[in-house]
Formats: sequence, structure tokens, C-alpha cells
Amino acid sequence: MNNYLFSGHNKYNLEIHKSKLEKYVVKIKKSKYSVNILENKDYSDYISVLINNTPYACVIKELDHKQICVNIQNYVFTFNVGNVSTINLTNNTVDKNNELVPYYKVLSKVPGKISEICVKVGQNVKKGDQLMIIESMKMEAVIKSDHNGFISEINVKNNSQVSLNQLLMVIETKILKEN
Amino acid sequence: MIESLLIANRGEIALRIIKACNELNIKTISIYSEADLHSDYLKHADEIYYVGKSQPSESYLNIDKIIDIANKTSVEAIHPGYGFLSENSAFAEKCVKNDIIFVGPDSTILELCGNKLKTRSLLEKSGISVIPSYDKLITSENDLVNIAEKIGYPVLLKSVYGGGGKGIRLIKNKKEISDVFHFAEKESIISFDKIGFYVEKFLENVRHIEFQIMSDKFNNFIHLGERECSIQRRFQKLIEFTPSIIMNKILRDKIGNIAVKAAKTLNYVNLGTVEFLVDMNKNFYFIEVNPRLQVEHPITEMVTGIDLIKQQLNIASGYEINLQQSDISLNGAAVECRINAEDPFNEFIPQAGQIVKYDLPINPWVRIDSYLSENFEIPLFYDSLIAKVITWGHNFEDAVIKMRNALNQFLIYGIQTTIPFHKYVLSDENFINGNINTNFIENHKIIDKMKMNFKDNIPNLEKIAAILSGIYYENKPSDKLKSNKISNWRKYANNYGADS
Repeated sequence: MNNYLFSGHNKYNLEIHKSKLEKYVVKIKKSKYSVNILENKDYSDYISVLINNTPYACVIKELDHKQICVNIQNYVFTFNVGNVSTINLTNNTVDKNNELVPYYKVLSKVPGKISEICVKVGQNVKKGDQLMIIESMKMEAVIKSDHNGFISEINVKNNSQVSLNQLLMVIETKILKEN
Repeated sequence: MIESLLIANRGEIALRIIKACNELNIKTISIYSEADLHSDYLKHADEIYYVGKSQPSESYLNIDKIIDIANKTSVEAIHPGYGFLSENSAFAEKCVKNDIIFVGPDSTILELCGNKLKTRSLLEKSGISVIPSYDKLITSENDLVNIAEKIGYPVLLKSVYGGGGKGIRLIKNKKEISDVFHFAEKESIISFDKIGFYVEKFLENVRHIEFQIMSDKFNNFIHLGERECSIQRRFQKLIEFTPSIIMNKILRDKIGNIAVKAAKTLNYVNLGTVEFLVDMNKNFYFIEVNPRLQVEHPITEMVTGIDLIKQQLNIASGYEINLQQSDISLNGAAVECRINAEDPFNEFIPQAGQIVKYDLPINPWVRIDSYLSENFEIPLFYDSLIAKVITWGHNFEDAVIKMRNALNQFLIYGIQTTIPFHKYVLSDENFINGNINTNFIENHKIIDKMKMNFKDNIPNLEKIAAILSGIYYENKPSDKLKSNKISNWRKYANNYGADS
């Protein structure tokens, strides 16, 4: 029996029992689901299953050790995996109160070329401020700050190529002083 | 008929042109950039040639290189598709100089249509009502302020070199001018290496309706009815359908004749699209002629039964159009949804990444124009269109029902696409009732409603996603991460209990 915690919009605490080869019983709260794996070739990121006799399929990608993306029925869900209190470091998962989180990382939501960096190290930023512009697929994606704070690190240069989820900059929130 | 054709394009439209050529026994030559090495369209061409690095300027916009390949392979003609070089008069001219047929209007017409201000004043003189704009090229912020004040806000700043909705910006008041101009200037330099804008009055709550026209060297001009393209976001068309709900036979004949008159005034030859904005009183204002194939051409093909690419090739080969206006009948209705690699829940940010797997809707009356393939890495360098889903029905409602079913069964794994957006719009009452205009998405808060609708679905679908995630880890053997993590999860569960 293994326990898993996935937090996305809601939190799901799973208890999984393996009953036979490729057959599982998943418990969430008091509900039980029987799961049969239909296809998961070479343990790839594509999985198709029967959950209580209803077919579902998805593609799972591990973004890093603590985050996974599940692509199901044309929707993408992002889950934090494991102990939530230690992984609130990315802009997707940052605590709303700002208090528990001393800093957070700005990750690139889109791969592309940095066309403009609008801030400098040490500069105070407010929620909604423009941080940088990434050029991708002939469009410009504006990266905005999700938090109040100041820029403590900039990890990319102008005109450099960035990949998905690459660290762009770090914003510290604890030493923010109002100007 | 020509016997060999080079396609100076990529993706779904390259594939679409190849399919038409196959039916006409025309040998196809496709080109590819570094990023397209594994693109599916290449498998269908008779011969393929490397054109250059991934940047469009090095590859699909590289006139010299493309002409060079055409000469080496001694093709008779070049089809430019849409975008890239399709409206480039210098390219069309270079083709002719090298004894290659350019499938499209000749360079003088391309140049005229490219100069939108000139086209407008020409057509205005012939008695066609055009959109209010100011006949002056803008190259500085100062020019812009002066002209915007004269026309009155809100205005649209458009690039003279733009097209397909690219390079258009809305200016609501004087305060916005400086920022908008700065941004537009930068974008124009990135995209076109030069700047040049014009300004037109921004009409709110209008419909965008366009007419497909067709003409040959023998002075035959016909139109193939309209396409309603009002469902747009930031001037990018997302859903198109035909017929338009405001159209009846008398109005279609009337506007169709205006479109034909515009084509005649411009001495137009080959296929083209005449675009109009339509106000609530069904007044049509001419905006521009798109002298090329449109992305949304399939809906016209579905209701007319006419293969537009074959017609283009036929006309370019120097033949007469084998149809008359009275031969054109519009049968039923067709809808097209553009499936883009963009995240509709997150400001439509482009999604690059791998398409791990996809399931196509194999349904009757469904057509898919796409170059999807499994494990295909979507290149970042080109636009984000990955598939077009087109359905036919005996009326609009029927076509929409078929589209809804098709999208329910069209599953793309690996990246977020705009499918959820389309599914929401197709269920929206205002859309179904035809109560739409170019501000539809903003006016009816479609994006917010889509997100709300998604939230209602979360409890079920997210739980399924969580179960699948658990099974994924459970089924993943000898994973170091897993063994480390399990102790953490156990620790967490032990410490905090299993509340959720």
C-alpha cells in the first residue's frame, strides 16, 4: 500500500493497493475506485485505464521532482506532489498570504527568445508588473509578476533562448518595503 | 495543366496542396526548415528539399533559396500557400523572371492589394463603400496622434505590411498612443524589418464577413458565397462558418456582386477574398482584398463542392474557369474551428512541446486539415495552428452539433490546445443563436465563462487526473525519485493524517 498526495485546485490524498498485475484499488477519502491499466507501454507518459469500468486516458509529464502535468480530455492539470509546505516556491504554487514564502521563482511558461527584460536586480516590483517579454511563435508573451517583492536574481540574458519551465528570475518577498 | 509544383510553405496547408496535386497527377516538391525535419507533410510530397535554418527569414521567407530549389528541380509552378511569401509581390515577380508560374495573382495585383490605402481609394472611386480611414502613411508617433485626433477614438493602428490579423492594435484614447506605438514599432521591425502604419476607425459590434471570389485571364468573375469570421480574439479568427446568419439570397447576390465588382476594378486574376465589416443595419464596408488562399477556405469547399486549390492550379495553368455564377449553389452549412497550440486558460500563450499522442474524431461529415503526428515537437518559429476541424451539416445547427461531437472525440495529449475554448463557444447560447460580432468574446465574457464552466467540471475530472497520477507512479518501476518520495509521503500522511 502506498500513499500519495496531489494538490491542484483541490487536494487528493490517495491510498493505492495493488491487487493483481496492472490492477489497483485506489482509495480517496471513503470512496474506492478499481483501476485496470489498459495501456502504459514501457511505462511511458501515456496511460490508458479503466476506472470503475469507464475508460480514461492521459499523458503525464514530470515538470520537476515536485510538479507533474496531467493532460486529460484536452485539459491540463498541474499537481504538486508530496508535502505541500516545502514546495511553495514557484509562481504556480505560491502561498497567497506572501508571509510563509520568502521568495519564489519565475519560470518560463513558454519556450522562446527573451526579447526584453523590463526589470533590474534590486528593483521593487508589484503584482502585475511586467517582468520580461518572451517571443514565441511570432507572438510576444508578457511575463508578469504574481507577487509584490524585489528582484533578487535575473538568470537569463536578453536575446537568449529559454526552454519551458526554465528559471528566469527570483523574486524575494520578505524584505519588500513600500517606496 | 502544370505537371510539377513546388510548395513554398509548410504544415497543414502544404499537405492540403499536396493532396490536391495528387488528384491532378502533379508532381509535388516540398521544402523544409531545420525545425520541420520531422514534420508529417514531408512524407506526402514526391520530393523534399532542405531550405534553411528554422527562422522564417532563413527558410520559408528566403526568396533566393526557394527560387534556387525551384530552378534546380525545374518545377513549372510555385504555390505559396497562405502567410509567408503568399502576398509578396517581389517573390511573384522573381518567379515570372525565372519562367516559373506563381499560383496566385500577378505581382502588380499583389502590390496593389498590399497597399491597403490605395486599394480602398480605388474602390471608393468605383462606388463601393469602404471603411473610414485616413490616406496617409504613418511612420512616427506624431503622425499617429494627429491622424487619430482627426478620425476620433477608438482607432486601429494597422501595419501596412501586415495581414492575417497580425500587427493590428487598438487605441482607445490618447493616453494609450505612446505605449501602443512603441510596441507596434518594435513588433514591425521584428516581423518586417521596417515600419509603416495606417489608421482606421474602429467599428465596434460589427460582423466580419468575407466573400470568396474567383477569376481567370478570360475575364470571367464569379463569387462562391460568404464566410462569417466574426469569432475573433485580438483580430485572430478562431471559428468561421458559412452561410452567415444575416444572409439571404438577395443580400448574398448584392454583396457578392460588390465583391465581384471589386475584383474587376483591380483586374484581379485567380482566387481571392474580399473582406467586409457589416454593421447592425447590414451596411457592408469594404476592408481589404486578401490575394491568396485563406486558412478558412475549407468551409467554402464544403458547401460548394468545389476544390479551391484545384481551381487555383487550373487558373494558374492558363485555363478558363469551367463554372459560371449560375452553377454555384450553396448546399447546407459548414463550420471550421482552428485548433491552436495555445492555452485558452492562460491568455492563449503559445504551447511548445511534444504531441505525445492524439485521437482523431472519425465521424461522418467531419474533415480534418492537419499535419499532426505522434511525438512531433511543435516548432516555435511558426504560427500555432496545428489542426482545422471542419464539419458539414444540412443547416448551421446541425453543423454545430457535428462539430461538438467531433471535438469531444478529438483528443490531443502532450500540450494544451484551444479545444476547450471551442467546446465552450459551441455550447454558448449567443453563438448558437447567431448573436455574434467581432467583440463577441469580450462582450459576452466568454473566457471568464469558459473558466467558470471548467471549474464546475474540476471536481470530477481532477479526481480522475489524480487517480491516473497515482497509477503512473505506482506503475513506474525502479524509480529513485519514487523510493525517496514515498517515505516523504508516508511521513506527511503520518504527520498530518489523510485529510483532503
